[in-house]
Amino acid sequence: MGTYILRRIIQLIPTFVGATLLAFIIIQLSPGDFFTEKLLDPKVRPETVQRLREQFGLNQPIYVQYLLWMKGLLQWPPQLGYSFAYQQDVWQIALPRVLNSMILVVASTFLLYLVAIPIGIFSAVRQYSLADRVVSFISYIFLSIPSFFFALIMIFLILQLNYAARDAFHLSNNAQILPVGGMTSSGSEAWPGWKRFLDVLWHALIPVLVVTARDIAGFTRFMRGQMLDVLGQDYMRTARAKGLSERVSIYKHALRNAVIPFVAGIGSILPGLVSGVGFVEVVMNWPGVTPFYLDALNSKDLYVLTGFLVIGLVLLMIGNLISDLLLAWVDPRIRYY
Amino acid sequence: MAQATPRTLSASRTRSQVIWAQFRKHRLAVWGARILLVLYTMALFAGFFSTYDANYYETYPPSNNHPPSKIHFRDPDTGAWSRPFVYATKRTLDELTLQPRYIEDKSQGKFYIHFFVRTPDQPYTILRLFRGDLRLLGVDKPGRLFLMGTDNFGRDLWSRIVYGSQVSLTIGILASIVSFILGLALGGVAGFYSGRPATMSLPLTHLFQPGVGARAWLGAAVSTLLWLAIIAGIIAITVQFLQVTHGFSLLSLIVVALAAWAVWGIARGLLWKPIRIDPDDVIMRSVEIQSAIPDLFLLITLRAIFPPSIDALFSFYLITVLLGFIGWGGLARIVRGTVLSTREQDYVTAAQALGASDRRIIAHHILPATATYVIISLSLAVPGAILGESGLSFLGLGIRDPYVSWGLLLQSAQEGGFASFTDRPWVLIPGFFIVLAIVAWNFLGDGLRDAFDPRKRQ
Repeated sequence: MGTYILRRIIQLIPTFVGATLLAFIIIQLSPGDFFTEKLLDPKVRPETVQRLREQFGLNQPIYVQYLLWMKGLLQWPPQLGYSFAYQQDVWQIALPRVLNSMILVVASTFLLYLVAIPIGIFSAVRQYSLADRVVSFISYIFLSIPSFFFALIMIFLILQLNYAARDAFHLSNNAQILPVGGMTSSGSEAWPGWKRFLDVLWHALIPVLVVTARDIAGFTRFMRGQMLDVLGQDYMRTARAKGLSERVSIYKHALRNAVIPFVAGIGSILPGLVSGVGFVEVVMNWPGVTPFYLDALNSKDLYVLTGFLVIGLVLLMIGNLISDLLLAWVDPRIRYY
Repeated sequence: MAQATPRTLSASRTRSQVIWAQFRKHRLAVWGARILLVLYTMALFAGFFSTYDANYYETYPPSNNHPPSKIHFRDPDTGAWSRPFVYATKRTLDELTLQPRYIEDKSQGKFYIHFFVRTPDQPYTILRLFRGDLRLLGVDKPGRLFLMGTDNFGRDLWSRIVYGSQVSLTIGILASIVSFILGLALGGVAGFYSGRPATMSLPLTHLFQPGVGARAWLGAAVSTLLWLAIIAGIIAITVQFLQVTHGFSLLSLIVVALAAWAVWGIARGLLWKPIRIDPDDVIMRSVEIQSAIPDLFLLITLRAIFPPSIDALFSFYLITVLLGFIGWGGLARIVRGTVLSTREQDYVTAAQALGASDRRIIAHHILPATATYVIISLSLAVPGAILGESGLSFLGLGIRDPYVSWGLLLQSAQEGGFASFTDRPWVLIPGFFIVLAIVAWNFLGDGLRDAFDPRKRQ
C-alpha cells in the first residue's frame, strides 16, 4: 500500500506541473497586468510602476516568472506568492475564503448523502411505481435548473416571506425570517461564539439547500441505477431463495454493494472546497471562493489566481487518492499493489 | 404461405425501426422532442412570434419596468364576452420608491389584439434570407401589448425572450459540435494509434544504411533542425533562469537536471535511436491536465484573456468555442475507450489482415461503432452547454447587447438589487425558459440513450 501511494504521488507530478503551467499561461495571456491600471492614475509615476513590476518580477518572460513562482512553492513553508491588491501573502487571504466555502460544501454534502441515498433506494425498490416516476420527474427538473436561477427564485420567495411575516406579526421593518444573502448579520462580531455560529448557520440554510437541490437530483438517479444493478444480481436471488426477509436482503446484501461508489466519492469533497459552489456564492453574496476569484480575475491579481488553482489542484489530487484508498477499503475485490 | 410472411417478419424489424419504436415508448422523451420542436420553431421565426423588435423601445411615453399587460376578455361595462383587448396605460412615479407605476387609462378606449399584424417600422429577417414585417400578435398604436412586461429600458420582455432563444438554443448545439469535433478527432486518434508511437526523428546512423532515398534525407534534415531548435530553447531557458535566481536552490538543481535529461534524450534520438511519441500519451495527458483545473475557473479565466468589452458578435463565437473547449476532454476519454475496444475486435483484425487501409478501417468499422455513442452524448451535452452559456452571460462575461440571451436577461433582472424583485417579478420569466429547454434536452437525451441501449429495451 505504501509503495502504491508513493507511486501515485510521483505520477501526479507531471500533471501538477502541466496544469500549473497551463493556468499560468492562460492567466498571463490576458493583456496587461495588475499595474497597467496604475499607469492611468495621475498620482502614480510611471517609474513607480516600473519599479513595482521589477520588484514582483512581472517584467520577466512568462517562463521565468513561472519558474520563480515554482521556486517559492517548493520552499518550506510553501510560498503561494503575494497578492498585489491586498498587499498580503496569498495564503493568508485565501484561507478564510476556503473556510467560508467549506461551510457550504461540507453541509451540503452531508445533506446530500442523508437524503439522496434513501430516496434512491426507495425509487429502486419500487421501480416504475407512481412514487418512483414522481421522484424521477422531480429529479429531472432540479437537474435542469441553473443554480443561479434557483438562487434568484429562492431570494424572491424569501423576500415575499419576510414581507408577509412583517405584516402578519407586526414586526419591525428590518425583521427577517430568513436572510437574503451574506454570511453574517451586521454587528455580529460582538456576539458570543455560540450565537455567531448559529447566525452563520442561519445564513447558510438557503445556500446549502440551493446547492444540494441540484446534486440530490443527480445522486438520486445514480443511486437508483446502482441499486437496480445490484438488485438484478444472482446473489440477490440466492439471498431471497434461502429465505432471508426482504429487509435483510436489501439492506445487508444490496445496499452494501450499491453504496460503494458513494463511499469512494467522499474524496471528491476536497476539490469542491476550492472550486466552491460557484454561482450560488455570487448570487447569495456568500464570501466564498468564487466571488473572490472573479474579483482577482478582474484586477489581474496573478498570484491569487494561481494560488487558488494550486490549492485546488493539491486538494483534487489528495481527494482522488483518498477516493481510491476508500474504494479499496470498502470493496475487498479491489486491491492496489 | 404468402399471407403468413408479414406476421412472422414482424419480429425482425430493422435496427432503426426498433430504436424508433423504443424511443416512442419513452413518453417523457417524446414530450421533450415536442417541446424542443416548438422552441426551435420559435427561434427560427423569432420575428413572427415576437410582438416587437428585441431592441425596440419608445422614449416617449416611456414604458420602463412595465408589468405584463392585462388582457381583458370581457367588456367592463356590459360584462359580455368580447375579443381580447388591452387598455393603454398611464405612467406615474411612486413617491416613495421612485419606481414607475402603470395604471390602465380607459379614456383612450380599447385596443383589440389583432392577429397577423404588419409592423413596417420594425422589419425583421428570417436567417438573413427572407425579409418580413408580419407578426403574430399586435395592437394598434398608441396601445402597447407587453405579454411579459418590459425591462428597465422599456423593451418588451416577451420579444426579447423570443429573440434570446436564437442565441441560447443555438449556442448549446454549436458548442457541443465544437467539443465533438475535438473529442472525436483527438479521442479517435488516441485510441486508434495507442501503442503505435509515431517516429519523430531519423537518426544519422540509420541514414547511411542501404536503401535510404533522397526524401528520407530531406525529412531527416527538417526534423533534425526542429529538434536542434528545441535543444537551443531548453538551454536558453535554463541559462536565463539560473541568471535570474542567482543562488543555489533545490529547484535550480531540478531544472538543470531536467534540462540535461531532455537534451540527452533528444541528442540520442538524433544519433542512434529514433524519437518515438505515442499520440495516446500526449492526448490523454492533456485531458488529465485540463480536467485538473475546475471547469468554472477555467472557463472564466479563458474568457478573461479577452477584454470584457469586445465586439458582441466576436464574444458570441468566443463563448461557443470556449464552451466547446471545456467539454472535449471527457468525450475524448470515452471515444478513446470505445475505439480501443473496437480496434481489438476480430472483424477489425480480419479487415487489417485483408490489407484494408487505416482510413478504410476508421470509416467502415470504427466510426459506425462509435456513432451511437456520439448521438447520445451530443443530446446530453447540449443542455450542459446551454447551462454554461446562461451562467457566463449571467456573470456578464458572455453574450452582450445588442444580442440577447436568456442568461443575459436574468443578469439584468439581478442588476436592480434585491428590492427590484418584489416590484417586478416578471423579470424572472426568462429563467423558466432556460429550465424548459434544458429539461426538454435532458428528456430527449435520456430517451435516446434508452432507445439505443439494447439492455434497457422493454
